[in-house]
Amino acid sequence: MAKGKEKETKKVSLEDLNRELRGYIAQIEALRAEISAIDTAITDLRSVIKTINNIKDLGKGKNILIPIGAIAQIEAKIENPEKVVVSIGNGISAELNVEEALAQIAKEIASLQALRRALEEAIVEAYAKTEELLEKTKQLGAEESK
Amino acid sequence: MDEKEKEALEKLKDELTETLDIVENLGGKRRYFYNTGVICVEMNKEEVVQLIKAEIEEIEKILKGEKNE
Repeated sequence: MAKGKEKETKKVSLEDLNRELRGYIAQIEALRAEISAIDTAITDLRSVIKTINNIKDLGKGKNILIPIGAIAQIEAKIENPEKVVVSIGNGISAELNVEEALAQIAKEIASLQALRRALEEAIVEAYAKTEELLEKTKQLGAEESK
Repeated sequence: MDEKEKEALEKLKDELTETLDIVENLGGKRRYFYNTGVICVEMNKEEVVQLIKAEIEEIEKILKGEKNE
């Protein structure tokens, strides 16, 4: 009877370990998805830097195509290659000169990279926890099968 | 209001405060735009500052329970 109860307690703790393990795996997946979104955002920002520099080099009066959504573009003429309208959050955008815009974008990239590093550290920690829990699960499983 | 809603409002308030700091620290004469959904409306600095401050004030009222969401 006592042995049966002990076995039941062990089963519960094995379930607990598995639940905790699944939690960490889900956390790792979520962190990976967030890192992937950050990578996309950084790539987009680098593309913006390239575009700003190209437009500046092209100069005033050059004809360009501006995407207006999906597969459509509209022809436009560069009126002022020295000014860029940049989002500063909460639906507000400010007109900046090229240098200011590039600095703002570089700042944005740096903050995203810092966030990425923090998420990578969190993944390493979650991995360590996963390994630890796997080891505990193996031990408990071995004890139970005795 | 539950904790999650309160947290979301606090976060929005922080973001608005951050945007307000950027606007207030941007010197020189420049144009600002407010995204109204599909189109952007041109605004001057004073209008933008007023708009953000009003939004922050609304959030503070909701957080204090003086106003419903």
